[in-house]
Amino acid sequence: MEILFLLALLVVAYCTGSYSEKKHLASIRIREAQAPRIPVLSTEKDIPAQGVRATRLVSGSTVVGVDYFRNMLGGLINLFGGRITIFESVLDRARREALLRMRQEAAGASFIGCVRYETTFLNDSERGKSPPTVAIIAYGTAFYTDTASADAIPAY
Amino acid sequence: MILSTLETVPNHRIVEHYGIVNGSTVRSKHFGRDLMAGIKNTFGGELKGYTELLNESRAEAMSRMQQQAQQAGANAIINIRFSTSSVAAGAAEIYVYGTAVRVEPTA
Repeated sequence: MEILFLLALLVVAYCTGSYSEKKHLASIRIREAQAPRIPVLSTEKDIPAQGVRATRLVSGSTVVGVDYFRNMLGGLINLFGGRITIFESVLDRARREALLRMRQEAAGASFIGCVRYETTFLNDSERGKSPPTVAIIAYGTAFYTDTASADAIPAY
Repeated sequence: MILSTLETVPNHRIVEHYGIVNGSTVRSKHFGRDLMAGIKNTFGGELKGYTELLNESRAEAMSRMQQQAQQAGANAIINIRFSTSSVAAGAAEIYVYGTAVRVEPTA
């Protein structure tokens, strides 16, 4: 009976997991295409400062979980070693989502410089027991060269 | 207050350093939302409740850092970095730090 319940849960998790993954990826692709075209630089030195009227700290964050089935499958692959594309996909989606939110926050900027990512696993303390949940913060400094958008920056 | 992840503020020069300033928060979602996130976690996808929590904690940590800088008499914080760690299940620490400085626009 318990095994049946577990199996049912796995099947449901697999279906909803794949569905939400596909939906999330599709929505990321659409929003990436629609988001303001702002170059994102990871460098902090030699950033062109001519004409810069204002700068502002911008950031975006997201928390994404792995579904039950994929977590089990990932654990299984982990036994044999090799690429675990299941977890790669989750981290990729989370980072892209965070970067996207940061770009949206920087609307009107000419570029974003010195971008950094910060990653943490929320249920680290119970690793193995529950599926990993990854929290990502992407942050950087938005540079405004255009007067109108520089004046429109909300003050801290 | 000017906040930047860079070591300088464009078209400004640093006239005084006030040292490192920081802010931190450890937050956890209340039981109801944690339960919902747990259920959602079984099926994967974005955990909106936790994203919201992350945003709130980040804003709080940043405002604490800014308060410190203001008390020191700074008008900018440069080289800002975020750091996160998970303290317990569903609770995360957000730590933000930077260097408080006073800047003047260069003519």
